[in-house]
Amino acid sequence: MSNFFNFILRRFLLTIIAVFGVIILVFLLTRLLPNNPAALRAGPLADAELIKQYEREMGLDKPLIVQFGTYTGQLMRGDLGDSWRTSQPVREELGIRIPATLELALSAFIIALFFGVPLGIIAAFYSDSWIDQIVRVFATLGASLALFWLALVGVYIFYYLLHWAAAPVGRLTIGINEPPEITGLFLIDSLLAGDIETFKDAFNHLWLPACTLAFIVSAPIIKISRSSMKDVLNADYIRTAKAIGVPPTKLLFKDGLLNAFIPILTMLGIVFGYLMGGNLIVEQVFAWPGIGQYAWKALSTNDFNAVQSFVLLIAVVYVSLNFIIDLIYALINPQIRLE
Amino acid sequence: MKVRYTNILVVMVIIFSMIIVSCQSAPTPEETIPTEAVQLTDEIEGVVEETEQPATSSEKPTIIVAIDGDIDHIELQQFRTIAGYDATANLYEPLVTQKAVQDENGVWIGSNDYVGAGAESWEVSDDGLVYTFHLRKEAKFADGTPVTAKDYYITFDRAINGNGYIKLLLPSFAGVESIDQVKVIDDYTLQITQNKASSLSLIIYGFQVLGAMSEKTIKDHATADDPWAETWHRNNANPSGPYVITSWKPGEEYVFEPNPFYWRGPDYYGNSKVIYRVIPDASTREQLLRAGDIDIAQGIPYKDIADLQKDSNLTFFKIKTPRVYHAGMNVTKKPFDDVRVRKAVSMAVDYQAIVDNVIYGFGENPKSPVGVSMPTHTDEFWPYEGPNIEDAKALLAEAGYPDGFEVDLLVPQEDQARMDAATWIQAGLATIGVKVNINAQPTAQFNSLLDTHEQPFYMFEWYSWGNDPAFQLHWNFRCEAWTNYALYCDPAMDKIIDDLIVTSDPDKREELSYQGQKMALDTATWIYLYQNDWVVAAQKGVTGVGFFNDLHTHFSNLTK
Amino acid sequence: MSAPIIRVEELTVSLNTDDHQRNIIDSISFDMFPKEIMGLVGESGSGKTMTALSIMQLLPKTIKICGGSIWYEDKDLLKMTSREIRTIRGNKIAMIFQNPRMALNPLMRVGDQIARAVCLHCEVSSEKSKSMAVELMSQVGIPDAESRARSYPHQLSGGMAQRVLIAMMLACKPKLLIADEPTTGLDVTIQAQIFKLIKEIQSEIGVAVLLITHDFGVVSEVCDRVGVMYAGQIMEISSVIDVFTNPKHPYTQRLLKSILRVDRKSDLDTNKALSPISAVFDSPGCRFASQCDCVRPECLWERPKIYTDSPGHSVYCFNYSRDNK
Repeated sequence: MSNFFNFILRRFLLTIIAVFGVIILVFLLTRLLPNNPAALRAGPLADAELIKQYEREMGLDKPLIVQFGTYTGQLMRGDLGDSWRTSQPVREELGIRIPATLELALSAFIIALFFGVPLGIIAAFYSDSWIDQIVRVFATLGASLALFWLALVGVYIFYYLLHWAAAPVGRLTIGINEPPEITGLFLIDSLLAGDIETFKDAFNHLWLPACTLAFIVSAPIIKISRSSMKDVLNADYIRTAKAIGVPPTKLLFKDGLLNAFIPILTMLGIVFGYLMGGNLIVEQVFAWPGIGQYAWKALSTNDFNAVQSFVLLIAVVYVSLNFIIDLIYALINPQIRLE
Repeated sequence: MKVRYTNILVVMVIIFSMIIVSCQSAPTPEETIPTEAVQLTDEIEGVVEETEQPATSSEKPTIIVAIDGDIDHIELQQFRTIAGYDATANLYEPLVTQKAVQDENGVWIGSNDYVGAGAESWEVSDDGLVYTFHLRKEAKFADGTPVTAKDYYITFDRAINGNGYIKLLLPSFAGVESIDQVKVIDDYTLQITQNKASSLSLIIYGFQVLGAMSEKTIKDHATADDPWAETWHRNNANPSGPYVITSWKPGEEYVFEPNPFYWRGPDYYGNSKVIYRVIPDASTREQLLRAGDIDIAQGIPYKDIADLQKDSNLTFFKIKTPRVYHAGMNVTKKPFDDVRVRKAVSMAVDYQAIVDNVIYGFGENPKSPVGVSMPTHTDEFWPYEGPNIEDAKALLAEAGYPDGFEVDLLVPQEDQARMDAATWIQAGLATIGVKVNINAQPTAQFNSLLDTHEQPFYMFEWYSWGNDPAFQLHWNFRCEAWTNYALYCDPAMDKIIDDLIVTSDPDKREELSYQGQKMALDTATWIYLYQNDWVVAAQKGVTGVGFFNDLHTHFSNLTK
Repeated sequence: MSAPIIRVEELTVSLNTDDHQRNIIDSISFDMFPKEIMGLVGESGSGKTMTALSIMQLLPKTIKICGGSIWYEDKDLLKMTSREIRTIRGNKIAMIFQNPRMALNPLMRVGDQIARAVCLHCEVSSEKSKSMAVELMSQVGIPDAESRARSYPHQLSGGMAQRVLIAMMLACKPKLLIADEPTTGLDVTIQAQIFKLIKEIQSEIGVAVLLITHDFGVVSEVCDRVGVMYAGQIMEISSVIDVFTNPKHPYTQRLLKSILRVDRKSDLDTNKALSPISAVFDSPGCRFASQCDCVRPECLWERPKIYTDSPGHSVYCFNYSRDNK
């Protein structure tokens, strides 16, 4: 187990280095862009004097290395600066929106996971059968349908025509109060508060956008599950297991799934990272107050601190996901863990 | 095998707890945005219930408005968004306000007459320099304290000496450069001494940006770094106007409720609550409206209106606004430095096609830099009659471009209407041999490029807060104006603008405005494209939608 | 001689490709008797592995058995349900493979893999199965079996891995062990050890072994009897001594000659000239006919009848059946 500990430590250090690299990159990138944040903050009616004043206030007149020092110092204190668009601290603004994105991302992820992986495995097990054909058509649809169109059609059918989904006005019906915040996830918080009405309402708002996203992201999950499971099922050790008479279900789930899981896990990481980036289109159509819309607005108004912090956030999400995936790899695969 | 499953379990627990921790460490809206205003009103509502009949307000409807853009913040002198415009105008009351009149469709419109708001009455000295305002003694802030001259004084003080943008308007349009020009005579008398007479003073004093802010509240929340309490006011308010904001969820929802201390009293309100809900997607707004889940939808695309009008449960409010869309030509860049080129280009455009196809007939060509619904507008100097290819070609040849030329047209890519209009310009100019390359840029990039003043050809629009030609001409045709992106400069035009500001006689002003409009058309720095109507879709039965100079809607009129 | 434990009768196995069906095993028959080691020898593609997989019912999906029967005791394996066949696999008939390291699940401890085999067929507790796994490992000559049981496949050498596989297959004392080129990829000294181990086990627990190989040298050292296959047909079956001293079939003779020429480097695969070309699979007669020095006209369109030279020595060749008449 000490090997394992070493492995974690090494990975953790690498993760820290990666995060630091991302910070440098984000810092340089926003400094290298041609726009002057001070001029943007001052607005179109400003004169050169005001811009100069803002430059001094924002420390833009100092050497790059000093600016970087200030920037990392701020980051250490958890200070992401203020958004010039709204004049609010970016940390708070992101903080408000992250739970919304997290709830949507987690729901979509869980649906895609419990839907995509088994479908892929079944398709691999019955490969080239009609089941496989249907699953493949499904995955192709997921990969090729435009998300925007799918979301709009979803709203039209399930909200406007059938009334199965709640009005796409965000996370709760207008006038229903948010549950007391514990996790920020309304489904969980409302249950913890014992508020079944709010839970139902939150669920009615969540399921359609979550399923829409899940439909799209389950496509790569199905594909990777199917192909890696197919590879594993052709592996020699599966033949060995068959040769000693292991029944098919055990074969599939004990020998097969665990081995096929490594490439699937990588894809799951990518998918979850993608979902955590906040999906602009789904957030637009469902008026979901997540970070995707926030980032879009920040980007289209050159809101530097906000863009910078968003990029940093997503990078940290990816880097941490990679770290977690590495950990799970190591737990599953002794070859990584022990060497 | 057992051991490994426990390992996985451990990691799962770690991941889950990380997620939980990250959620908890993320600041919550309640924690980070102090909703003092909410608490205040909660207490106040208790008071109201004791003294008044609570039933009257609860019978009034709640109006749900779907807005397309977010409120950035509600710091009165610094907000930047249209939704911020709406919000602040209902929270703060200036000294004077536009007189509201109802047009034939029942839409409330701000007229060009000004009436007292925070001020009961006012006098202007004969030389037009001294404005003395007599304040309403019954006016109170939402915390119950009276609105006094000191409060207006500090409002002007932070406007002039704080970080807001109104200080860019006060000197040129109202002759106020220093806070020393503002005097508190007594608790209910405020005197402003301008250093020049201005016909626009009341328009400026009527902007919500100069609405009364409580001196006490500002002082309570001021810090050494922030003497004007700007940070606190970004998402809190102690309003002097008709509404208070009781819920603040950025990017999601804003709730406005009547200010119980507002001097006009409960009968003034047609509703008990106005909810602004951010619904960014237009087709979602349309479906919500059709399903009856919202009362009013802003920002419905023109192309969808015809279809929505078939729904008998909906009603539409259509208001002319003097927002002039144009393609500007930089007079310092070849080939637009030659007025003949600019005129030739203007001749080649099919204006009617643009109105029909870009804004689907919801609006018109203003045929002047001064929009149709702006005082002194005239189209009598408009020289163009549909595309005139022959004359345009001849003029172009005369200017030395018989074979045309090639030019980039800068367009903000998020604005579909401008993108569409750009293709019509492209098509029109192609007929005279001018090749237009559409340079579509994200809005932020578009603005940055424009601010370099190096763009030869760009799609822009201008809307003046003050409904007066002086503003329109000043920002677009004065030599030194930053937003004069065509870099047109003529001392004669500057003189006209200066005269427009100081002259109060209406006939004289009309004459000046006509001269200005004629000069602008003669110099042909703009291709005039359209001014589009402001269209609001609502459930049948909703009334009280309006459009004012200083805001889009007076919430108090909204009802159903 | 006692009754055979496995009787393969006219087994035909076909590969269905897009355009046509090809019999990759063409009506072969042979018996295996208790406690004997029988070699099945032939070049790559001669169908020896497919024969083994047919017995195990582990053929790849694209390959189907389309005729014949395989009798185990008095039951036809080919008519069993998949549930029934699982009670035979690993329990009565076991199989070890080439590339032993690849044949072990990389994510499971080897001891657990053996213990699982024990659990599947012998009703014992999981504790008992673990100690049995360790016992089995020492039985197949793995030193320090207790700690080795906790190893993962990637920590074992190829030879060790093959011993583990053998231990796994011996878990429930099967009647027949099929060894499909068990030493491919192992170095020569390890090869010898593995064959020694197989022989030891055969004599200790009395299991019959079907050894699939392309190495006549191995056959001569390990086997009691041998079957020679070419292009999905059996050419000759006899005792090892007879095959070396009195090869009857022209193919067998050719094989032995080529071995003698290159002496001990007897890898049949190096002898390119003898590799079956795909066209021969469509021949209705003897598939070696096109390469045979003693070919007769009937060889091309008729399957040769069996000719029994002496008890236990059979040849499928018209040269002998004609003479016999």
